[in-house]
Amino acid sequence: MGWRSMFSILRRNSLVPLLLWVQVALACAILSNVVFLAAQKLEPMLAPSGMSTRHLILASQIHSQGRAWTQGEVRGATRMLREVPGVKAVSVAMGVPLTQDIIFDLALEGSTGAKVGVNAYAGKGLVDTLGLKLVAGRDFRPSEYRATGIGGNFKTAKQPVRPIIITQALADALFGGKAVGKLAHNPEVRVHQDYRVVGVVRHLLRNQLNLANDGRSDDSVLLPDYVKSSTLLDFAIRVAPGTPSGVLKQIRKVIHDQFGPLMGPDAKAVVNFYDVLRARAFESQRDALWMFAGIALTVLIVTLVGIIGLTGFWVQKRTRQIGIRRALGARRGDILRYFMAENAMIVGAGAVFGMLLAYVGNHMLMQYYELHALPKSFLPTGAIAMLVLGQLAALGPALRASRVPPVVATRSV
Amino acid sequence: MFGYYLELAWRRCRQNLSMMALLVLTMAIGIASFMTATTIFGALSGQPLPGISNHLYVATMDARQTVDKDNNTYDTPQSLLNLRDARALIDAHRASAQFAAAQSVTTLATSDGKISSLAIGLMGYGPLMSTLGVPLRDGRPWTQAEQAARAPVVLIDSKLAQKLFGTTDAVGKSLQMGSQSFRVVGVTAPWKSRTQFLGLTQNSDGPLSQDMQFFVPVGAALDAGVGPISSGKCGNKAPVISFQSTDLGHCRWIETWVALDTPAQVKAYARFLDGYARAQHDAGRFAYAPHARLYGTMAWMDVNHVVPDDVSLNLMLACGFLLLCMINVAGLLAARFLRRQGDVAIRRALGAARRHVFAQHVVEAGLLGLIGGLLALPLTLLGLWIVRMQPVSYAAAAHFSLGVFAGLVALALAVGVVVGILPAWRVCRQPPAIQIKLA
Repeated sequence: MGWRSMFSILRRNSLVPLLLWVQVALACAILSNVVFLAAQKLEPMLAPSGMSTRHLILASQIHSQGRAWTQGEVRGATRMLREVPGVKAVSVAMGVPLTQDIIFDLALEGSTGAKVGVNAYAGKGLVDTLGLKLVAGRDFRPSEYRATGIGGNFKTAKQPVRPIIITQALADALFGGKAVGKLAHNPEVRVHQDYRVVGVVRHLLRNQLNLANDGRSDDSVLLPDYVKSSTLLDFAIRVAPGTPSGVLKQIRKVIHDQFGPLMGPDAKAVVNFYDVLRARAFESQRDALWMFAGIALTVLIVTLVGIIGLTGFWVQKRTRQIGIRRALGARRGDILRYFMAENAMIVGAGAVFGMLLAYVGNHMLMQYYELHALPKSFLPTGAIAMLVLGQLAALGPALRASRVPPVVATRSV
Repeated sequence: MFGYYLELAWRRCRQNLSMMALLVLTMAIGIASFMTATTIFGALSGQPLPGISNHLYVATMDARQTVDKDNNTYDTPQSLLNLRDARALIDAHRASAQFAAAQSVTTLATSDGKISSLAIGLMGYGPLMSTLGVPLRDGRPWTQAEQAARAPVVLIDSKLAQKLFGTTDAVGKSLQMGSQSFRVVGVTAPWKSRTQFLGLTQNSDGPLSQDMQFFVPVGAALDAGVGPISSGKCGNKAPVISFQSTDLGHCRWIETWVALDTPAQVKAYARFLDGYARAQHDAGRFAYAPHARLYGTMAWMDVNHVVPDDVSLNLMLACGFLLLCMINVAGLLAARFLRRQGDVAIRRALGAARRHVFAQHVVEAGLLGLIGGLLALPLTLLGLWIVRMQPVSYAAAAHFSLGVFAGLVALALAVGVVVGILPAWRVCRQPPAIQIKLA
């Protein structure tokens, strides 16, 4: 039987195929949007950190009340942390990965003309302490560091051109590849700051994880600032491999003893291993992923049930016709193929309409919400899933149809 | 007739249990996901203070006093004003009630300093308590005279009173706030709005409001060194210290809210506000054309995206999903009804009118919808429980209520009937003769 007769059968009994078609279209639209939303949540979780994270401890939310911590207090605490057995390196920092207590963001424009908003981390020796891989250039020299801090009492020396370390992704975006020695500047008029790239690291995860999608996870830089006096501090601490985990307790004690008195009764520093902090930072993302997976699965099951039910009914309704066709010489394979092809036709038409629906729906939602445009590559995911699902669902009823003996043609149903 | 149809429907349901279970379950899942999403959406949208915030409007204007070369435009309305402007607007008494307020977080302690508590509250100017309808348990709000004299008086809520003094009977007691001793003149019942709407631009803690634990006149608070959560937007010359600063002369940090009852009053006040702002601009205080505008509470919450995007997005997804389930059930029902075309044909031949056949099938669909609704109830509870377990800022909004239940039952019935109409129509349209022949 040709496509044309198949089509005319569909047209004459339009209700069931129509319902099937609408259902597939809707499921396809929902599915591609859900898969896209899930991918958006998944991206920061899969992004490489760039750090050697196994023996890394991060401390954050060390927040003083009343006055800023002095240079002496910061130095004293750093020294005491270095004396904890097992500790290899300590950096006082403004901003550390995975925590957003200090968000240091700036805009950069390089020779390609692309403007990129980046997260900056500042602190002495962060390349070593975080375990970053330099792929080009060098680390900062001790003479390049200048004082920084929030609410601290000091003068910041003006540097017309500041050294900066960027990631490979930024080197590609800002300079189209080789970046060492090149100049970038902050395009915001108010700031007037030039930066010279001295080093490039392979990866470095930004701390604004909500922005770490669409290939922006590596939009981070290091600045040659050392924390002199500040109301808010972070620490990055590297311990030697094989250090017993009791080291965490000792580090917490040092931080509590040194900073606790000024922190006020309700404030609490967060000190933990990178992996623990990572699990916490991605908790909501993980939950959202489960939710999206649940939605996708339910959509698939509901659609599967729908297709099985409708195809089954249709086969049953046409048992007599099948019997006649069999009696006229159609083989079982012919019947099976016919029903599979019919299913592919309806589901395919639904999927095409569904892709359109997904695209339009996404663009309508974008007008109201901060949503990203659904990339065209996501549209076929839903469509292909629907086609596979449709064929799977139709297989049972189609097999049943192919087993209809020719003799039913001679009797009523 | 209706009862007979119900009985028929019930019998038919029992005949094919697995099919029915499938139909009902599909409907239940669709309804439950929709109800879960709507419950959360409903809790986060709507009036934050029903009956009160309907009449409240916030004053917005471009009140920058210095030229900001990098940001000459004024695209988003700004509700934060300099204290001087807020005071001038309140003291003009042009609305039926008006107050200025900013949130503050500070430590309140007993005079001996033994018991202390970090609390969040409002610094206000004008009749804040009565306008917002904060319920007083004891004492009184601060008076005009106390406000003018910057007298150190404060109101606290009963929970904080219990914590600090061991009793809710705290009127007349003293407590330490910032650098000064404040006298408690009133104790309020615990009070919060359903969702945040005051100080939206300063407090990004999520859409749900917290209990306001203290209320203090702004002048006395600043004198004691207690500042707002954020100093808001300061002019170029101001020092950039934002948290809890009281050096606010250059800054815009306090909101002015007015109560207006009729559209005519709103119009008149908008004119007054515009006139005030223009006068400031003409006098050289405001650097830009002020674009003064009043926003109603709901409009203001819309502008500031109080309902998180993912909540509305989930609602959209749930809507789509419910629609999918409904189409699915409609298809399965069509299959179920059309299988019985023979019975229908015989009924028609025996004299049943089309509308009778139609009614019978719609009743059957409605019954299935109701059963689906019953099943959706535990599923909705499960869905809300799952949301409450999430680390999201609006988790506490996921609560089941009588209203939700009523909505669920109505929705289930409507879904059943709507879903049944198409298949029922299809089945009753069939001419009887052909069907009998086929059967």
